[in-house]
Amino acid sequence: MEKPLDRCLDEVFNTPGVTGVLCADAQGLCLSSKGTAHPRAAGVITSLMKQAAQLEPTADNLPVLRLESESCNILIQGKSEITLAVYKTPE
Amino acid sequence: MAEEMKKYLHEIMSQIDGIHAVLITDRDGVPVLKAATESAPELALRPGFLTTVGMATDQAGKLGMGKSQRIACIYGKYQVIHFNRFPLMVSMIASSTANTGMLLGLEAELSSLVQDLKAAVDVI
Repeated sequence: MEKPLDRCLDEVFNTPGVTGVLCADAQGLCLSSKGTAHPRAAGVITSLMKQAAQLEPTADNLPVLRLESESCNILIQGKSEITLAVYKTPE
Repeated sequence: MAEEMKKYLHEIMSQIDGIHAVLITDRDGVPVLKAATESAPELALRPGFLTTVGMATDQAGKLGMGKSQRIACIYGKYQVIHFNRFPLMVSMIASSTANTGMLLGLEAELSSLVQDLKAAVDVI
């Protein structure tokens, strides 16, 4: 059942510079995770997305979040019920 | 000591929106530590409910998939998350719209507290 999702995440995960991918549902439950993305982070990632969406409640699309740290950059985007986080090595 | 632990539970509860109560009980559903807001459903705080949870965990352990570690039940208005920390059980009651992933993530934060309580229960 989850094969198409896994295939899609594999594709993202195999992109150069990507160290991890995580997909979570609206309840903050991890649907799938790869590499350095820990399933336990799913709740926090979904919560961040919801908080960020409140900054511009009238916008049609959800924002893209970019968290930068010394060791890793995390890009988060939500679409309807799904939130996707991509962990990348800093450029 | 118990007051400090309760305070710690309230602090943890303030981190997540929609959480109504955190209870640490023994296998029989007797509350060892309880922290609840006014919005917590009274039924979920009764020993009868908590005893049933202990039984549900025991039954879930018989499904042949190893020991049951967590149970998440989502109802119309509420969700109830249980962590099995033998001989103790942690139950969290939250609104059904609360972030389930965040609630499950509290397990790590509560582990040190549960460990301390476990040591006290073992002595008794």
